[in-house]
Amino acid sequence: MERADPDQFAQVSKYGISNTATTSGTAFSLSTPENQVSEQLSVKILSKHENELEFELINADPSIANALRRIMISEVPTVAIEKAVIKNNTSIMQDEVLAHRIGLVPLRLDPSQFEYFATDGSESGTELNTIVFTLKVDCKMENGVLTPDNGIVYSRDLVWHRDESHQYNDRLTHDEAGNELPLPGPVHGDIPIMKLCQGQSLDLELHCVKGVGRDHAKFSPVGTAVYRLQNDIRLSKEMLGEEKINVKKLSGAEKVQVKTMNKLRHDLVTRCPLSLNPGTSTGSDTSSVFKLIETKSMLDGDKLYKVKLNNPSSCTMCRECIQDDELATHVQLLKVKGDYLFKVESIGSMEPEDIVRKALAVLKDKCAKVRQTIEDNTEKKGGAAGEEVDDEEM
Amino acid sequence: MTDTTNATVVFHGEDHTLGNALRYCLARDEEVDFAGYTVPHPAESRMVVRIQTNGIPAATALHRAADTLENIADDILDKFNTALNDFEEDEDAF
Repeated sequence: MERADPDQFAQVSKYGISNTATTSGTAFSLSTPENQVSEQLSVKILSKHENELEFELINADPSIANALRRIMISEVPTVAIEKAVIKNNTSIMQDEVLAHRIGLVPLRLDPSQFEYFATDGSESGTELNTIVFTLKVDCKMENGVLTPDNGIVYSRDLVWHRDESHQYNDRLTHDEAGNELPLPGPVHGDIPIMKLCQGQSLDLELHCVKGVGRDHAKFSPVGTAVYRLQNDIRLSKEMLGEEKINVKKLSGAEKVQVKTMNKLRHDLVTRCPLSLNPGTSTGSDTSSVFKLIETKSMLDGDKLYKVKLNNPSSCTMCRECIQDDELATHVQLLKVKGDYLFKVESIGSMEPEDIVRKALAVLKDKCAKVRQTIEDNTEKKGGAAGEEVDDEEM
Repeated sequence: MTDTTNATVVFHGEDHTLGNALRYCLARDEEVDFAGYTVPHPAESRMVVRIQTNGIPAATALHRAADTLENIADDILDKFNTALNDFEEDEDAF
């Protein structure tokens, strides 16, 4: 088989992967002028569900794709419970364990409505940087049943402590157009926090602040934000079997060859764990990587088949199909450099597409900050851009 | 006379996220001879970028790289929004 362009494809082989470097000749080559890079860059949405978004970023440098992923995980702000004032806890769960569990509950709050709480202790809580929830549960036995909820404390028991003296409550209860929003609370009401027994009670005041995933994972807006390289699978002409053959005109040696290829095709499809195997019900039609297609030709009473590449992007690169040396000469497993399949799974506090947008905004902010610092430094030193800037404090 | 064509810039509170992306943008600049970055210690929130240009001040190169990176982010954002609009229109059509 023809060798794939090492600048554009990484080659997956039996023991490892080669041609992985991204230095030259690629679409995002270092020598490509910036305006051309911009033309080549593209985004495609693959699927979108309530809390899950899959998209393809094409012709970007790995450093850009990775920056986007890292920011989504650890630098897009959300609001989470940060301080727990435990007034009463007669349950069997220790205060610190309870506080930790409660901190992880995702909250339905718009972080853009909040300011950061100063971490240096110079500032106390205000209604713009803190929102308070209460959790008050007394477990009783009523008619032989533990109430409420069989003694289970759920996240829905977190109640927003609305202080009427506050000036900006509206920002939490109404959107910009003045429509009423659901009251601030947990994203999922049915998260069990702990179990209480008869006579045990909880009384907590919970202070929530805005933060980023870098400080604590509870602030991360995503469950996973991952990318992988797009697959490209190539089969040899003989393997595809698209050439028409006249069975009657074949010589003895040719017949043997046709039979061997026919067997190899079967071999390929049955080896692949993601293929819809003929005669079995394993594998689904859409996720199947290869498909055996029956042709009309027969040879010595055996049906002849051809192979169709059905869905190469569902290949997990398990390499089962290239373990056999003979098969390996007919199959090429490739990764397309610069073609990233992102999967963003929101924890529920934000739409997944908003997480992507906010991540890009964070990246832009960082750039603006770098530029601003350079400008400030050069001004301070009284020269045009170009004076020595030794140490940039950010 | 100090040499302005090279610089070692310390970024406090930054890591590989900005470091690698800036390094890439610097390296793409034809007037930059060398660009590298390091996070000297994983427990310290500090990232260092080293720049050597072939004539222009290093600060200008860094300024330009930040510009490039912002343009890329803008570009992705634009294309993401367009793609999402198109996708939602297609969904509605069904």
